[in-house]
Amino acid sequence: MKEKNICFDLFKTFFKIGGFTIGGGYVMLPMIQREVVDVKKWATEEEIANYYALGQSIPGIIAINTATMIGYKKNKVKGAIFATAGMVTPSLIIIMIIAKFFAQFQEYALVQSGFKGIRAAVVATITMAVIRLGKKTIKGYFGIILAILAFVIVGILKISPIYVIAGAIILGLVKGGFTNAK
Amino acid sequence: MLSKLVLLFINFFYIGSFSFGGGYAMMPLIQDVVVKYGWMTNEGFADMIAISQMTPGPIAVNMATYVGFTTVGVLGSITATIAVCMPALIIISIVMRYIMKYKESNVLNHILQGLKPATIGLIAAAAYKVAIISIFDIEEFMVNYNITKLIDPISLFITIGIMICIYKYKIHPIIYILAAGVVGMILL
Repeated sequence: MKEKNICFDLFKTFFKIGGFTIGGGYVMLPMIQREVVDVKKWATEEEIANYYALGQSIPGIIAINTATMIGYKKNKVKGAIFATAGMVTPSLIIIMIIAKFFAQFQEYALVQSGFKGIRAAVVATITMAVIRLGKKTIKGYFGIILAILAFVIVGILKISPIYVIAGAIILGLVKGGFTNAK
Repeated sequence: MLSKLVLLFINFFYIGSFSFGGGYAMMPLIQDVVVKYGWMTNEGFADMIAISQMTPGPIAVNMATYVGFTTVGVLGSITATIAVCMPALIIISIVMRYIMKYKESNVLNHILQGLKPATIGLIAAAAYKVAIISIFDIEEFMVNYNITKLIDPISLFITIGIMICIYKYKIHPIIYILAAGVVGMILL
């Protein structure tokens, strides 16, 4: 009985998150901080940082990766499925309706300006979420330098994140090797 | 119809497996597929991109849903969506099983020591990319090199306003998204 409740709870929570993740998968981060860390307390900020870090490096859609990880932690495979299902259901419904009835949905001026506003909000919420996560995650010069490097390489130089991820893994192992050697 | 469903499944399963760098990286992959099977025109593809960005949900999933629906209808959208999510579900479930078993592993911790800060940088880069489009209207600027057109004041106002609110209040992010949408419709 309890298991059913957890699954339904996962579905409900990720339904909420998925319903308002507009403008890209990263918008999920502030939502997850709010729902998963603050409200439901299903994971700590530290764990979320781990999930995001791993979710980035493992092939697959990062938003789905993250939902799957949180769902799995709560209730193994079943939890993972319910969390993911919750996340994609709102968009499934909305897109089917739009595709069927509002063929020129994206052409409406009102929609476009509404979306512009949402994009501005996305910048704000993701930035604050990153700052919050960064405070918990980055300790010491190694972290600061890595974060800045990653930002510059992907954000400004526009190089594929794959290299940053591979480099980060290697550097992490190297640093770990040195620390152990001490 | 069954053959289309199978094609949808196979192709979106493949697309869902190779998603580095977010949904935008998948666009060329999806474009190849829809062109190859003649499922969409160029205009249709552009529409799909726009709608996938403007609707809730991860962009890649939205694209799968949309393509699936326009090709085969409800069954198509469900098939494509499930297909695009499956690789992540499978891989992550396997990975999680090992992580939860080897939580104290040194190797894993070392890897995370590198990955975590890098991830912060990557997410910041994602926010930066959106900021460039949203607040700094590069295209407008390019038209006349008119400095006053470089920054979109209303978007900037919304962004900074929300950042201040987040700092001061404990409001749910959903409220900000909705409010910004409404403000956008009125002011932009």
